[in-house]
Amino acid sequence: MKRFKRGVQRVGLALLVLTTSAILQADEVNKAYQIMAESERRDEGWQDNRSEMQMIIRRGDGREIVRELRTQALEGDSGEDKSLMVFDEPLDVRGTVFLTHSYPLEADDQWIYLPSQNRVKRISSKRRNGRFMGSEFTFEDLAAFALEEYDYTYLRQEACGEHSCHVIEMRPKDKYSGYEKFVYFMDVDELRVWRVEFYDKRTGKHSKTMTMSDYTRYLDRYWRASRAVMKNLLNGAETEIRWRKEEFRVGLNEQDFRKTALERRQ
Amino acid sequence: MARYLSLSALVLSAAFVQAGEVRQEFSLEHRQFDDPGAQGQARSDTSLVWEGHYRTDLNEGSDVVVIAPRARLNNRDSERNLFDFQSLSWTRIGQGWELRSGVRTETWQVTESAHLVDILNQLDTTGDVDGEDKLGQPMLNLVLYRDWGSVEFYALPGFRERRLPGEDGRLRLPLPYDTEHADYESAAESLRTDAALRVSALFGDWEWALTQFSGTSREPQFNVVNGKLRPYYPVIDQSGLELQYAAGDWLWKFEGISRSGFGRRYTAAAGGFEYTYSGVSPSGHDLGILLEYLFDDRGRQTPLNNDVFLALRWSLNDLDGTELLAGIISDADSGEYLAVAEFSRRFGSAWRLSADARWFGGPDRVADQQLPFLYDEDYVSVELTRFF
Repeated sequence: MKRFKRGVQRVGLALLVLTTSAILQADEVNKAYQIMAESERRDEGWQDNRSEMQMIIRRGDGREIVRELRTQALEGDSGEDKSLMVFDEPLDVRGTVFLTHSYPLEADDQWIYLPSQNRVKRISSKRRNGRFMGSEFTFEDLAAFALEEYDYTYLRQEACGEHSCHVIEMRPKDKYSGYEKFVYFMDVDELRVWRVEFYDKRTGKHSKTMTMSDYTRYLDRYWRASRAVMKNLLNGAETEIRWRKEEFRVGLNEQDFRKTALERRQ
Repeated sequence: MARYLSLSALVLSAAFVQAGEVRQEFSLEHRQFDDPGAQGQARSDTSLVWEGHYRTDLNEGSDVVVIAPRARLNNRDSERNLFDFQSLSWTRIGQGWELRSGVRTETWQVTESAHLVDILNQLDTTGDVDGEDKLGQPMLNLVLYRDWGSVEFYALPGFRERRLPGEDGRLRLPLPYDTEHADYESAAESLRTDAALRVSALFGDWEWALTQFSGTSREPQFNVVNGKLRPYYPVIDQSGLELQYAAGDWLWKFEGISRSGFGRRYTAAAGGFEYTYSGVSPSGHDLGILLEYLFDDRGRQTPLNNDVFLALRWSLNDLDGTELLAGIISDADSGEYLAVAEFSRRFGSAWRLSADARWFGGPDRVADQQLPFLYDEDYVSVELTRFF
């Protein structure tokens, strides 16, 4: 889903070719902000999106577990996107649905549909440090990206793999964030995110690194990674996400993302 | 007739042509009581439960068909044997509306400890006693979507009697239930068509819903006939309000009803909060604290008239989805209580083990006791479920 995608898509910050000339004169803060703003602007217009997601959780002790989800997302005005996440695996949570209405600078509205109780339950979404399904991703990592939610600093430009990357520091303004800061590595040409370093709020230390790869361009415009690996530097565990069957403009509408519409899932 | 034909055509094409979502589970549940039952019931019983769920989207998502059967076999109490459809329904999705028809199960609930507003479906009290096991209800439900929320109309043809434990079953009142007979206020008896309306809205952090139900009460009153408790189902009017406010880590909840038909009109309400502290440890656990107060203006004629509910929910967010819950609901006057402890975790990707314990207790003074027949009904239940 877009929410997840962009979070990780903070990772995927699907981007367009950016003409960097306009931003070269800016100071370090401005320059970083404008790069992110440009990437946001260029990601507009995707309308709706559907994909399948596989999460492979590899623990430090070698145990490996797979989660399967399907995601749907709807683009809204000024960052007010909506998304659905439907669980297929593990089997005991099959049919569970997460519905999220995202708002920049405000707490998201979030509901969970529990098939065993036929019940739609509102959940508190402000604090999002909890691990997602036992993976190395937290709910915050999977949340939608909104430009206004961070302060930016341009650190440097350096080589990353076969690309040359902007290295940008982002500090969350939200006091409930579990992170002190993130460091993003985005290629200069297409503004795709290739790596994100997460710094824990409690310790201030670099605690996790996410690597994105296997980018595909959709509708001649929107870059999406089909692979993300989050590595926990403290315990050696890692979680890999693979996206499949990514589709855009499939005709989803507002009604599909209503709380009341979750009831028809029963 | 045409509707039935088209519905069965849809169901058939759904079942045999379309690949939809399928899930299935088998559970083995064993209950072990501390004491033999007051009427000589056994100290243990075992149930085998099967639940299936099939859902498919037809016509590019403009029709949804759901088939969800449930069956239970119990070794002690034949009244606990069950075959039911939780859902056997067809939904037509239009632009700004939905028409949901067939047998369905719907939950109207915000508080965790009380189920006051929730009224469309009959309860199956031979399952768990928590009021969350229901029987499917035939209905026609029209949903109209508006910018601010939705308006829903319900026609509910046909009534289903509450499922009550038999003479060998637990937990039950000292006198056995008459599970063969029922009396109705309505001359149409179980064939009355009831009606309901629900208006719900979402305004940022606020959510509310107003509901109105007019029809045969799902909750029976009991008359002693030939030494048995015979259910009597009056016709009632019930207005309900659900209110929810989300503020950061806090969820504030309220639900209340006003009901006529049970003697004089009465009011009952429940409200409180759920506080979630997320990421309490470096391993990312969630801790939830729930506190609710329950009120009923009928006073001591009813058990949940002045009660406090407190619970802690601990989710480990680990690979096995381990969850622990401990809670108590207690009468503020007499101290009479029901305490619960629940544990559940997954094994592999297809098994889940749950263990629940329940304790009941109350004051020594007989005049203060509201549910004395429960005091010797403490039990532990262990459930192993295999998912497919």
